[in-house]
Amino acid sequence: MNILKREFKMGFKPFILWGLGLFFLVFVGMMKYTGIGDGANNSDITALMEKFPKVVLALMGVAGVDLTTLGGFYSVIAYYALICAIIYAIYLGNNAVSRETIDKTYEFLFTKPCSRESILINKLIAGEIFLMIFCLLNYIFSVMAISTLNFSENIQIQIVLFTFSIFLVSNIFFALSAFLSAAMKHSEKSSLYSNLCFLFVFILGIVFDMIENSKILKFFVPVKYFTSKEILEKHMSLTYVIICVLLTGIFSYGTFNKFSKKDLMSK
Amino acid sequence: MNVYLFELKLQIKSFLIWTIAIISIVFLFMVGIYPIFFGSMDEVQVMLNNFPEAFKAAFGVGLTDFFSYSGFFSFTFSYIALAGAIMASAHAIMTFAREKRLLCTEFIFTKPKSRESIFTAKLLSSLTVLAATNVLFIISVIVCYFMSSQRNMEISELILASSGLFFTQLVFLSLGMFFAVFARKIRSISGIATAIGFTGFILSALEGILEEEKIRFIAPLKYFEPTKVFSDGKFELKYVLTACVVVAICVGASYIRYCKRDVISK
Repeated sequence: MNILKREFKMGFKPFILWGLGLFFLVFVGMMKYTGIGDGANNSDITALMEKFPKVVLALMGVAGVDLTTLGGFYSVIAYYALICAIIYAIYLGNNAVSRETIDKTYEFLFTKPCSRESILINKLIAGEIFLMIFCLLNYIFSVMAISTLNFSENIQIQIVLFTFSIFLVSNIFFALSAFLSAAMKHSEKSSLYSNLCFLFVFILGIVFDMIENSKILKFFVPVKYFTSKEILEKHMSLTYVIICVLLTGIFSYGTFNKFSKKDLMSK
Repeated sequence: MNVYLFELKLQIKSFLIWTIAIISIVFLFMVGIYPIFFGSMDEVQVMLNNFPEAFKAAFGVGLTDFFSYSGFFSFTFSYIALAGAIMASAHAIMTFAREKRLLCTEFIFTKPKSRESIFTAKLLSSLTVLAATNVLFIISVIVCYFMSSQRNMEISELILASSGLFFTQLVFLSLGMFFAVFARKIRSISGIATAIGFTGFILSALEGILEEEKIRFIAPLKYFEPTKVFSDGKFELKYVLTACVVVAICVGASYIRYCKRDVISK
């Protein structure tokens, strides 16, 4: 319990900074939406757009969503919130496993009457809670921002789904970066590789939007597991929810496995 | 000279990773995807013919512009700039916070070498790395251009547009340096660099969807946009000036701070 409390104290300041960033993103982002195309001809535009080749739509910045609707506009902001959540998750995962090594305080901690597993569990739980609150904040900010706009359109359910998808996907990266930190000798290397993984996935996400038959590619692109188009239709594919949970589970298992046997370097 | 060479040596691995990443993005998009994109022009043309006149007028005018090599290059460039920004901030933090992270500031400051010259050597080493990356980047852009079947633009404009990467990286180098010198503790270099890079990316994306001119001043990735080079033949002056001011302030403040700061013993 003491470890958990301490982790909260240590992580509070960065959390506030990230929260402020999210607030800025959601509010400034939604502020400008004026609702050009609410009403009748939305389905026409969507139908027209579906006929275009994917690469053309991707270049126009609309991958399967209609930006003139409130939901479509929000989905763009939600995608950037997802990016923020992932970067924060990577930070949290790395921090949970290797902060003590970087600060050279692990000897102090590991000589306490506490098993390595329970230390790691506490640290991961603290990170997980921060991530959960971050997602929750995303939900609250989104609802607040949209309610100040005074629109008749109701996208409550979609916001919940978006938030849920952000939570699921960022969890994969949380577990991945924790795993890499536990598996690699040098903390800086693990952080570099988890961030490179994310950059790679992000670029693949753009390619994914561009090519027509991208079913196989989808598995490698967590940021596109739950596409905006699906969520706006109030639908989340169960397969990918399961894949998310599985990946998170595998990486977490790996983290515990590696961490309990990890050699701690003196320098 | 020793400091310079030493810093250079320690940056080589990261330099290789990032340069390969940037060049692969160039080839992936310009050689891999542009032909698919260009090939879909006929298809879109046929579709547009079936559309109502009003829609055609709105979309059809810029069809050849939309499918042009320069248009696609500008699109690709925003992602290359993102990778470049992360690279530049990572290198800045790496060099300027090295002693702080390894707790060996005393070691380097007790050498018979002024802090000023250490700072300069470190700065020069980062600049060398960035310059090398950009030379390779511009070469690969030119190679891609000659591999393409759509060679209908001024090569000098293409080179000028790609040189925007160097200036964007300079801005991020100075931002990273500012952070490295002023932060109390730096735990992860790449984590901070990724955060800085993507903050810039999200800001420029916000500028794009909000169409708000003011946001552009705080979106460094948009300072040196290739679209302006292709339309006007030069970068936009007000953003170039903004970039200069940002670089001057960050480098100046870091220089003073680096030369004056107390060495923290713990």
